Parts: sequence; structure tokens; C-alpha cells
Amino acid sequence: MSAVTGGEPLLALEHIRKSFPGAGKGDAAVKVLDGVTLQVGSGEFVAILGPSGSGKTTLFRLIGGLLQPDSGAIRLGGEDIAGQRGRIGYMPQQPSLLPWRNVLDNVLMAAEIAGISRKEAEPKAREWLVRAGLGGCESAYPHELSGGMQQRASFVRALLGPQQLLCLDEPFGALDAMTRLEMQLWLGSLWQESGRAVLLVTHSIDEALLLADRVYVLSAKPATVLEEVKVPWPHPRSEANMAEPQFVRLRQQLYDVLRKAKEVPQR
Amino acid sequence: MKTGTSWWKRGWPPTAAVLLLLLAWQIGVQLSGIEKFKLPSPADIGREAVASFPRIWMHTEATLHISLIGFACGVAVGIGLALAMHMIAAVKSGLYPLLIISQNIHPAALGPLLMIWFGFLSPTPKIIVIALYCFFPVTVALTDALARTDRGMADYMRMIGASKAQLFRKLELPHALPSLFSGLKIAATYSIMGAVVAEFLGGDKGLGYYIQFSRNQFQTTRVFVALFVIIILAFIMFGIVALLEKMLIGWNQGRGE
Ligand SMILES: Nc1ncnc2c1ncn2[C@@H]1O[C@H](COP(=O)(O)OP(=O)(O)OP(=O)(O)O)[C@@H](O)[C@H]1O
Ligand SMILES: [Mg+2]
Repeated sequence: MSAVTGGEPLLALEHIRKSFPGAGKGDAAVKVLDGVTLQVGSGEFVAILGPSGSGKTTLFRLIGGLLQPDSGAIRLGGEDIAGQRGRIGYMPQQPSLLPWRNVLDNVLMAAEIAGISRKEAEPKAREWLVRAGLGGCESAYPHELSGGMQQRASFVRALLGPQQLLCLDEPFGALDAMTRLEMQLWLGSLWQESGRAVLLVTHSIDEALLLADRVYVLSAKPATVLEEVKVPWPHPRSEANMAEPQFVRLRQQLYDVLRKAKEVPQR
Repeated sequence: MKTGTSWWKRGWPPTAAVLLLLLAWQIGVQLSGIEKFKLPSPADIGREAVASFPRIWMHTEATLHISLIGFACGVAVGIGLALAMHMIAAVKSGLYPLLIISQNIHPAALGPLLMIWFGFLSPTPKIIVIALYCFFPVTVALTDALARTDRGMADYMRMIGASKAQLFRKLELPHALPSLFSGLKIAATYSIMGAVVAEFLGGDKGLGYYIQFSRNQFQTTRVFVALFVIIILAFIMFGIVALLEKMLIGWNQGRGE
């Protein structure tokens, strides 16, 4: 496995195993993660590709402390954080904005939970909302925003927390193709400005290649890391990168791995 | 004004329906020549209301007073029970059946017992009867809403480190507020009905007492006056809760339009 850029990784998952008890009495336990090992460096953008149901959300729930691994270690900055909550920023699969809070109050939530005073957080929130193209929407309610705008607010909320690592769970899965591409480029540029490390789960090979420094491919359940790929282009990237021969080659390579991943017999 | 026209738009069908009903009633009574002690006409009822206004007003005040106390007690108990059941699973599974049993205790059986315990003229039996019917919709609405908090949002909040208290204050409670207000609206309507039923059972004032007293004297028109006052009181109680709801959870308005 290749070394992480810049020495000591920010996040290190070591041989994580996790199974869930079977649905019925006497059913065998469902093995979901079977020894997953991966790292994310400081300020790095890492993507996880994997078939549906392979355990990607489970992996995030482990990192976020909602679940305990059966075995293996989860380290953040060298410290074991298994079972600890509030150590990572999070952008869930659904925007999960609170319908009774306006956009400004919503994006302040992560800072609020982290105990950052409103006086300190609000100017930053307003600034990032403008950068996210949500200037003027501060006092709108979530149901007044489009899906893409809600996802942008959800990302700004994650960004305003103090955490160095942001975990994004298929943030653009529900958007149409054009909006999706626009949002991907937007996310790439905001990530660069933010200086944070990002761990992104996605189904889309193009999304992974367009945004990430490195891509991990997970197998079907029980998941292991099948492949790790470095993506060579410097940031910021654009649609033009997607037409380069090497991009096409990488896309084909990942596609082949993913297809094989799906063939692993499901148990 | 936009709100003015929309109020009129929503308001005219029920207003017209009630006016039509009263008109049909008036014409029906006049054409059939039915005796006044069997069915008075709306005009008779109106005249009686004006004539006996001071007495009606005295009883109305008594009913309203006891309703508000009973409503407040019922709501306080209802919210308290819901919170206890939400926080402690064993309390929920233990109490829920008892709550349902409590709603099947008929006031005709309970009222006399309470009077024996607390005294015929004491307000306590009435307050207990009213609270018994007011707490239930509040408890059920709030408990169910608290249990049905969006899983994704709760997971998000816990993931970013929200404590149990923060989760409750920032997510579960605001999420349950619209439902709580539905329960409060039902309770507000019940509170007037509950007060009237309780006054039927004993005491010396209130609209329930007045209805019974007038009925015994074959003053049917006065019974009808009291019925109308009860309806108006129930509407007022409902309206106050609805107004509070609008002020407190305006975010819920206009969603899903
Ligand atoms: N709490 C749980 N109890 C039992 N089984 C679970 C639980 N959570 C997840 N699973 C199982 O773990 C597997 C992986 O689920 P997970 O949600 O992590 O997949 P995913 O990779 O995020 O899928 P998708 O790409 O569709 O979002 C699923 O087969 C699911 O049935
Ligand atoms: Mg998932």
C-alpha cells in the first residue's frame, strides 16, 4: 500500500471488522466489513468507491462513533477514537437540514454543537454561504431551496464545525447529471479553500476521479479494499481533465475492478 | 391584503353553511308550528340569550374558569407523562396500557366517587375530570411524535457529537411541536366539554349545572342558549391554541404547498 502524502496520516483505519446480528433468531450474523484498512492524510481528498450495500455508510458510522468495530483500530491524529462522537465533520446522504431553522441557523448547527460561540461563528457562516452561492438565502427555510442548494448548505454546515476531517456520504447521489457536475466542481474548489481533509463515499467513478487525490475501491459485502488508485492531476480540476487519455484509462481500470467487486458472491 | 382575502376565502364556506342551517331551522320551526318547549327557533334562542344574559354570563365565567384550570393541569400532566415515557422505555411500556384504561373510566362513575372524596361543592372533582380527558390526547400526540424523530437527522446530530440533552432540545422537541399542538387543540376542545359534564354531576354553578336546572323546569330555550355558548367557548379555546401554534411554529406553515 502506498504511503500517504505528508507523513503521519490524519485518519487511519486498521483492519476494521464489523458484523451485524442476523435479522431473525438463529440467523447467522451478517458480515459487513472484513478487515478494511485505509488512510487519509491532512488536507487530502480521498474517495471510496464501492457497490451498493458494501458497507460504506457503516464505515462512516464507525468513524463517527455511532458504532463500535468488532476488531481493528480507528485513529485520528494518532489517537484511538473508536466510539467517540463529534470528532469528524459529516455530510449525510440526505441533506438533513432542520425544517424549522433558516439556512443561517442550520449551517451554524455543527459549530453550535461543538460549543463555538455564535458571535464567533456567524461572520464565518455568512462568508461561506456567499462563497457557496447561497448569499441572500440566509433567512430562507430549507423547503424553499432546491436539492442542490440544500446540499451546499449541508456542506457549509460541515465546514463550519471545528473538525479537520469531513466525511461526505454520497452527497450528490440524488441530483441530476448536470447539477451534479456543477456541484462536484464547486466542492473541489471549496475543499481547496478550506484546507480540510475529505473522505468521500460515492458510486460514481467520474466523481471520484474528478475530485480525489486517491481512490479506494471496496468489494461487495463483506467489504475489503480491492484496489487503491492515485489520481495524478493537480487541483483545481475541470471537465477538460475528463477527456485526457489517462483519465479514460483510469476510469476503465476502476470500472473493471468494480465489476469484479460485484461478482464476489454475496453472503 | 393577501392574508385578508385568504381569510375570507377560507372563512365564507363555513359561515354560509351555518347561516343556511339556522335559516332552515327558523323556517322549519315556523312552518311546522312545533311547540317552543320542544324545539325553539333560533330567533327565540337569541331573544332568550339577551333576556337572561347576566345569569348566563355568570355560569359561563364559572365554566370557563374551571375549564382553564382543568386544561392547564391536564396539559401539564400530559406533557410530563410523555417526557417520562420518552426518556425511560420501561415507563412507556408500563404506563401505556394504564393510559388507555384511564380513558375508559366513565365520568358518570368517577364523578360521584370524587365528590364523596373531595366534597360536593369542591372544584377538585371537576378539575380531575377535565384533566383526565385533556391529558390523553397531549400524551399520545407528544409521545408518538418524539418516538418518530427522523432517524437520519438524529444520526447526523449524534455523529457530530450532540449530547442527549442537545438532541432533545435541538431536534426531538422542535420536531414534535406540530404534533403536540394537534394534541393541545383536541385537549382545548375537550376541556369545555369535560367541564360541562363535570358540572352535570354536581355543584351549583356553570353551564352544565344551568342546562340541568333549565331542563328540569322545561326551559328548553335556555338549554339551547347554553349549548350555543358551549360551542362558542370551544371555538375560542381552539382558536387560542391555533393562534399560539401559528406564533410558535410559523416554520410549519406553507410547507407542502
Ligand atoms: N444496523 C444494522 N443492522 C443490521 N444490518 C445492517 C445495519 N446497518 C447496515 N446493515 C447491513 O450492512 C450492509 C451495508 O450497509 P451500508 O448502509 O453500510 O451500505 P452502503 O455501502 O452505504 O450502501 P449504499 O451505497 O446503498 O448506501 C447492508 O447489507 C445492510 O443490510
Ligand atoms: Mg450508504
